[in-house]
Amino acid sequence: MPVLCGHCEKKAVYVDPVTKQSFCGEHFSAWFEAGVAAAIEKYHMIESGDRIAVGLSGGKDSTVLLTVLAKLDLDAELIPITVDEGIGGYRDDTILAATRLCDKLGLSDKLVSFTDICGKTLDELLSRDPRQACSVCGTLRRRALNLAAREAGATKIATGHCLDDEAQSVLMNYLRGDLTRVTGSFQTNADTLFLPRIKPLCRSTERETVAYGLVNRLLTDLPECPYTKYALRAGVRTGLGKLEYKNPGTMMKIVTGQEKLLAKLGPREGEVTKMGRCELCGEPTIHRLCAACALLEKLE
Amino acid sequence: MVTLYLPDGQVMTTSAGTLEEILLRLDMNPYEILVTRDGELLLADDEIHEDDVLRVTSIVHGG
Repeated sequence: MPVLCGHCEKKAVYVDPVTKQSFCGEHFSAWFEAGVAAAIEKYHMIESGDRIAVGLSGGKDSTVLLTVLAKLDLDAELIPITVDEGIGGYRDDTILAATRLCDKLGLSDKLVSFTDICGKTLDELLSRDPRQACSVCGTLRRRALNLAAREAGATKIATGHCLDDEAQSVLMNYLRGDLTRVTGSFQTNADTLFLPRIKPLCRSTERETVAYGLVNRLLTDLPECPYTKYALRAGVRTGLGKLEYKNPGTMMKIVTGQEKLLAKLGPREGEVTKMGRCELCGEPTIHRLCAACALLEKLE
Repeated sequence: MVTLYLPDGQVMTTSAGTLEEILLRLDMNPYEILVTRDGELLLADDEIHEDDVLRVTSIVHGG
């Protein structure tokens, strides 16, 4: 006997492994969207009149993020921004997917490339050593998104990071023995200098997010990034994925456990490190050079 | 045989069973894999029959 939706008589297409609730496509979509809306409200992510720059790669997470944000009744403007890193045989397809999604949603997509911000593509930057692909790409992508969002007059930047990414970050801080990050004890005035970042999918698992994309036929077959094999998180992600399969809810416990730890530590007292400006580009930093300029100098 | 189209373009075949049995048999983590049949998302307990054609989507992304 097929499993039926807990809300109607249709065949279920998703069962929440933690609560065992079963959903047909329609009720799963409503449940997922309600979860995103609840996270936005709980963490006060969006205020009336906000102009939200949405990082849109054209991949699964950002496609779902933009679709759900456009569907929710938010009193905010959405500004999709696609970063073209310059990855041969990969990016053209995902940019096309991003453009098609924006056309479908009636939104205008802004495109910014690594060539715009540093004169080179990611492929060119990594020609000597592709192993550092993810850190180079991540740093420059943040730079590109920040610049494009500011230029577009955005008040916040939304990214497609989901619960899995959050849990991986918490675990990686422990694995590195990075007590400063674990306890959130390094304070700067960064909040006043950078556009605030929001993660509306932070309480949705990657599995739920991709399932939403499949159920609503939002996802097209796209090539995998050729640099994925160098991803720093790969080991942590694989390990956490196995734990999540055997013990559903593990990732949520990791993330909420971290929140409880920070709440227990209470408001942090001590000095706030004031950020200066990068000598080369003028972006906020606590060092002589910002992360992007330091990276580009190293790659020269 | 059951035919599976993998995310990297490869095609695999295997015998029938529940979806979860098939994924574990092929050394895939059922948490990281979503599978559709004729566009419909399948559950771990769904029976997969001989001659079924499945499309496999990995939830894992780069970066």
